[in-house]
Amino acid sequence: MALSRRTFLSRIAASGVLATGQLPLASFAPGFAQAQTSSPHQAAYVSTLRQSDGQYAAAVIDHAGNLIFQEHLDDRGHATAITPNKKFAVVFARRPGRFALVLDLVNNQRHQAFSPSAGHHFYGHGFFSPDGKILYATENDYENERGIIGIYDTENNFARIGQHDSYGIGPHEAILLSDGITIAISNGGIVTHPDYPRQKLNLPSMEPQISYIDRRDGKLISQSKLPSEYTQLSLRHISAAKDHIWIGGQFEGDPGNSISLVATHCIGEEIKPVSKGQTYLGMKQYIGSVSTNANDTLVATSAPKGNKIAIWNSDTRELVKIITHQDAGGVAPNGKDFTISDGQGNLWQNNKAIYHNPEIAWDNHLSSVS
Amino acid sequence: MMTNTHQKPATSLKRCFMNVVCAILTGGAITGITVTGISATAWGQSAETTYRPVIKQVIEKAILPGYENLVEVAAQQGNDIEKLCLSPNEANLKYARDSFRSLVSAWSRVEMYRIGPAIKGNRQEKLFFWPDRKSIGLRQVRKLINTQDKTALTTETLQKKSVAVQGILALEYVLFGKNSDALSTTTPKSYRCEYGATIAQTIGATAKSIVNDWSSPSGYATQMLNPSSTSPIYRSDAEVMQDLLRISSEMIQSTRDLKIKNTIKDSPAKSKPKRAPFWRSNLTLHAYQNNLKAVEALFTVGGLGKLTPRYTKSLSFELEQTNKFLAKLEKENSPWEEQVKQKEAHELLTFTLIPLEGAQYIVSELIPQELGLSLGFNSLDGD
Repeated sequence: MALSRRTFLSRIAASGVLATGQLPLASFAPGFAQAQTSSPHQAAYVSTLRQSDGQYAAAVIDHAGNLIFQEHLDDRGHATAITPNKKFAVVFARRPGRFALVLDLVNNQRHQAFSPSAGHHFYGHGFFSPDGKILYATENDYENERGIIGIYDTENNFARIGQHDSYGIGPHEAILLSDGITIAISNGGIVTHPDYPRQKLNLPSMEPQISYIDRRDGKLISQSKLPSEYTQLSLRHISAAKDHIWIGGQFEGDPGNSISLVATHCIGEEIKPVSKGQTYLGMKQYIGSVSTNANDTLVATSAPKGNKIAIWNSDTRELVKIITHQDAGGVAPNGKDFTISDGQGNLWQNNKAIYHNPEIAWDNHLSSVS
Repeated sequence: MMTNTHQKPATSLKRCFMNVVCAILTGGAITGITVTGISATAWGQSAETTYRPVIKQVIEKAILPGYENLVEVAAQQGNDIEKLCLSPNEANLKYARDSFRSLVSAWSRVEMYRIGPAIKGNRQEKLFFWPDRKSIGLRQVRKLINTQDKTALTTETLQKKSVAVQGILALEYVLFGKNSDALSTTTPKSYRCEYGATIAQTIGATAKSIVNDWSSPSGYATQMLNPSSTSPIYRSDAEVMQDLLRISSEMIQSTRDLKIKNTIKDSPAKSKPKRAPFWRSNLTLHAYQNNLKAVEALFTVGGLGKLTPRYTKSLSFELEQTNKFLAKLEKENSPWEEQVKQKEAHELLTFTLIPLEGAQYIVSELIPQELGLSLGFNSLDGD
């Protein structure tokens, strides 16, 4: 059932979100966040994985690289949203999946599962409101080929209470900016439909773009498209660093083109490619995930098809270094540095594997809890 | 031990091996299947020695001849339609429609090469705009015919229009769609007929561009045969091999999941035959058979099978088994959309899903494992 604008605004207002400024740090949803802190191991990372028997799961790892617990998934998962109070995580299905699993990171157990509305599927990403009361998820209204940000009430068993337009096709990842109000959405531009699983249906006419909307009423704040030579760069993954967002894409055009796969954007400006196409040589025209370190000084972009992770200076936009790990997709902040996950069961910190299990393959994304 | 290869659920694996066992029993020539891989380099040869001659053979014996054939067949199709345009009659309409069968064969034999030159400039979609879930292409083609848009009557101007109005499915509508029988009774040089001839010429021009981009001095064939760390496309022979195996796997998967399974659904009542390509010309089954023959040809004529003869025999068995079912249905000569609604035909189509699953498993899992060419989990299908 759709949430009325008045009800929604009053609920947002009651949640204590600031109109401007930084995120409130200690504002928790009363019901959803009352779990007791009794775990001997503090959750540090969440990721989905594939086991050697072909089954899928979500796993929670501590700082030392110990597996705290894992939960079975019915199908392949994708990314994870962590509540601001770090007590819960929501693991989303990979597109065109329709499940989301809530993990209790305090009691180390499954909390509940939920699904989007009929006619929608998840794209695999989402985030919480600053108070943790509302979850936003990127979704595909596939019959209408319309990108959606689904809205879920965490205090009411994740009931779907409304939706916003993403103002584009294929909203893959969406993040909340530091004002606690503005949602940045990377609309990949590619039409897909569950009847044709994972088939890209509009490559000649795709129009990727970045939309910014107001999370309170869904109104479009700003929208930016790519220059014409980049129209087949599907914008997929984003991360905020200071006053810019960093965007990673996958190019659907001529494989012989040397094209920049990473760009930055700030509202009111053009989308700016980062570095020259030659920098991306060997990355197979595909960026798998984007992450910012804890103090916003570095941004990591993974290129799992090219076995590379690029680390960028968020101020100068210059390449700091390229790290090589086979099939490495997940990057998550680890203080001023990053933790990297790969398809061979490793979690890497400073080139040292803090976790290794050859019986699993870590999936595309790694989320940091702390 | 877990490797970085994609694992299938146990049930699929079991079913696949049942088929392989079946192949052993009926073929007699296959002595055994092992999952343990022997990489090409373990044979004491370098990857270059092992793979490069095979890659060359694939390009020269399978890919290039396939596109050159499409260029020739499109030219013949254009000539046959021009004859119809000058002298509209039943015999000439039949010739033009018969030519379309050859065009579908030629296209279906190269459809799987969705790499490099076929991706550039959206050429794959220009040749074959499918699936067209919302009938966008159909509406655009009808509009051109209804408005008699003259800018669709030269190759140069048609190429600049929507990808949906210049390919094989647009031509199918012209020759087999609503009111197409009137092509035999209309006045000479009718708009619909001239548009059809222009589409055929445009298909030929697009195919010719693909041939040129493959065979020019710095073309895609050169890129495939000279991989290097500075190449934007291929860094090693192994990457080229992975691409060839990937497109083979995707063609089988597309035939199984998108073209058959998604069309026949769980029962005749639930089936949606018009989701399939070429239902208007009743060439759906013909196209599917040629799609699968193209995969097999990559391993036989193209020589990929030399690297893995045991699995190639199993693969051929699965693909031929599927094509026997499809050929049996084609011989019935019933309209596709009626056939799918019939219990017996629906069952036969359902049976094809089993050998196709086995075939895909061989190409996407067993052969890459044997050759040490398995793709990483996060590299399989980006998101």
